[in-house]
Amino acid sequence: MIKGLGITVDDFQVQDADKWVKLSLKGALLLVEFKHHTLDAAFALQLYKESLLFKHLKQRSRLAVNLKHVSVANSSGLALLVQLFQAMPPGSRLYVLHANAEISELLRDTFLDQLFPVFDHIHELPIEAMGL
Amino acid sequence: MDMKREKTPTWYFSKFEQRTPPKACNPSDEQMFLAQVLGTCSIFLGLWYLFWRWTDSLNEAALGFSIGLAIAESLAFIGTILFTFNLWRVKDTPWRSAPSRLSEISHQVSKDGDVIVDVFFPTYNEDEELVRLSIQDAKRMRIPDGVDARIHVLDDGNRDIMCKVAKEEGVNYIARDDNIGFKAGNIRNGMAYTEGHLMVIFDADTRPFPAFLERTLGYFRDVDVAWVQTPQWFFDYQAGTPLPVWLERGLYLGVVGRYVGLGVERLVGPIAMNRDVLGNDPTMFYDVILRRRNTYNASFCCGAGSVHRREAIVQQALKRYVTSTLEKSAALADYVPEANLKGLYQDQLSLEIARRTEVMPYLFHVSEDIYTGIYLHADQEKTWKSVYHPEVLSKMLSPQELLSWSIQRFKYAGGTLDISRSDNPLRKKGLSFWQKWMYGATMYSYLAPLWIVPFLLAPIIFFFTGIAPIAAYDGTFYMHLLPFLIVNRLAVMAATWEVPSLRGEQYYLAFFWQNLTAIWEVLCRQPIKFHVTPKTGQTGNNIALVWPQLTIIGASIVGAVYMGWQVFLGIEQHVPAYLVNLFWTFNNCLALSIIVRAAMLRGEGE
Repeated sequence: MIKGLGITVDDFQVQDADKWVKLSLKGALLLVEFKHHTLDAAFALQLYKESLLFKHLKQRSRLAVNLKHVSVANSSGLALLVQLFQAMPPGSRLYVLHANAEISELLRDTFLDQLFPVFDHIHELPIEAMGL
Repeated sequence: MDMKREKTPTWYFSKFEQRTPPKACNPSDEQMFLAQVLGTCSIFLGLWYLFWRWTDSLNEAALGFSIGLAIAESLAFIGTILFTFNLWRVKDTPWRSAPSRLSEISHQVSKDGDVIVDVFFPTYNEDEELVRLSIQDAKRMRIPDGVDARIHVLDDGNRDIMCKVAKEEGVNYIARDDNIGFKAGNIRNGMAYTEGHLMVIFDADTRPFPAFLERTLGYFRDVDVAWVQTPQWFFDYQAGTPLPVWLERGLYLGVVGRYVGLGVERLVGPIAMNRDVLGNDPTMFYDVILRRRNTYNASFCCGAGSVHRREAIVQQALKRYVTSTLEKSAALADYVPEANLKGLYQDQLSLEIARRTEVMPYLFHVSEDIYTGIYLHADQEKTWKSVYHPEVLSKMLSPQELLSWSIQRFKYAGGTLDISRSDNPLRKKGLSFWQKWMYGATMYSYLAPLWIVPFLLAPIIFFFTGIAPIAAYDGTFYMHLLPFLIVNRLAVMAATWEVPSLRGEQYYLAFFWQNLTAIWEVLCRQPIKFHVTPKTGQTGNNIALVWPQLTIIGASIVGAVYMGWQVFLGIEQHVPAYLVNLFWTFNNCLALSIIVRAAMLRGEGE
């Protein structure tokens, strides 16, 4: 049974930010917070072209994507999760946080929740999320 | 001063530019009712005939030969049943006006805006000036209010000259270093650099009409519509020679021939000789077969001339990505002997496989269009709809000689058969009964050589051996066969009135060798070699491609003469059998002769 770590956002140290994302770090776990309300192909394309996020991913093996501010997502937006995951080194893991009901449903519809575990709150993240 | 082009290239198809496409045929309710009645009668008469064939007509003196032909006839009859129900109804999706806001086609909107439509022109080695014509026509498309259309040239050839043309025309140019996955990979690469909510897929030579977007985008107001397919129209088809002219000059009959031709045309309407020798006219497929499948949400995706909802394509791609990852990891984890470690290994393996697996919006397959469509239709969590829009909204070029034609048809046959072997839609969960029926009908049609080869060989065997596959060619034979043949012909005529079908029927037989080769390669699990269909003619004839057809024709003629001589001398007594086989062999040779004539074409178009 997965036990929650009980960590909160306050436990993270802000590392970097741009107009698309805010990045925080605790141990091996990189927390990325999308600042846009819509997670779609346009956002994914801009993030890929302009954001500093991909640069950070090369050194991180644990990533939690915080969708707190995202109210609407479509499949092209969720495909970004695969892009992020594939930019990380071997043995990496990706978690999804704070997905609203519609986004959670889409994660189930696309089966992505079977690869990237979805949690409602950051304190529910399992111990392995810290790379332990 | 405009320095863009020093001269306008002259194309072989320039003389066809002013041609207008045919209008979709709209059979009346009475006509369709008649077709249904005749179709039903045809099926019962066919069953009656086959029952008689199996129970009362087998030649016990040559049981193997006789049963072989009866099996072939039974297999052909299954195809007739599948086709009859394909023709059953015409039910178009109601047309709707183009959307003016994104929220009209999608619920996944936080801030409303324009509908972005990406127009893709995948190209590889086509003449850049040919692609320019397509781009220029695309730029002339009328853009509905609230739609933001963006044209992209997806150049798998990575050519500087193509880039230059795109820049000159003011459209986006996207290239990649490799051409993995061919057209499907090319479009996937294009999608990675674009953000449209809808995607229009054209071929490099597709020339859209100004109304293309106006007429197709409205269907996406139904958020379940995944794609809209429009008919493909080859505007460089061979129009042929009017019968009076052909009689006068072709047969050198002078004025007499002209007046005979005019008289015949007055009775039965215009007749064109040597029209569309290569059988490129796709009206039967699009306006009849595909359009009527729309009734059952079973119209195929055929690539060029279609509009796709990105959400549907990507959602399906993500599902395949995860499913394939989990299946592969589960299969590998099975090798782990310790049961308690399997789950752990599978978890690790799935993540590693997920890192290395690509998300593929369009499957890397020779028949990527139909294959992607099957997956969308088979989605178990969501009922994606396909729409066939019956109005021609673009024009494109057809193969102009037999080699190009053979490559294209081989690709269609091999690709479809490969899907039926490796991922058979009949076994796919999520497809409705009628969707399985329609996909099955297409796949079954590519097995035609299994019954066509016996049909071609049976008369020849009879001519040389005197052994008949039927016990007696007496009145009973005609009583059982003729009603079926006549009613079946009337049923097809009623269901497809005004649609040219002669060439299709001829090529159904004449294509047997290329089709047989495709079956063989699929059975041997050979990769179906993908070729970009050449669009410009090549020099020289292609007689070498049709040696099997020529052999059958030669053997049939020699056999018919040989047996005829025997009958004439009274050595052979089977006169009724000879006449029946003479009729069939004449029918076979007439059909096969079309591909021989096609082999003589040199690609000049007309």
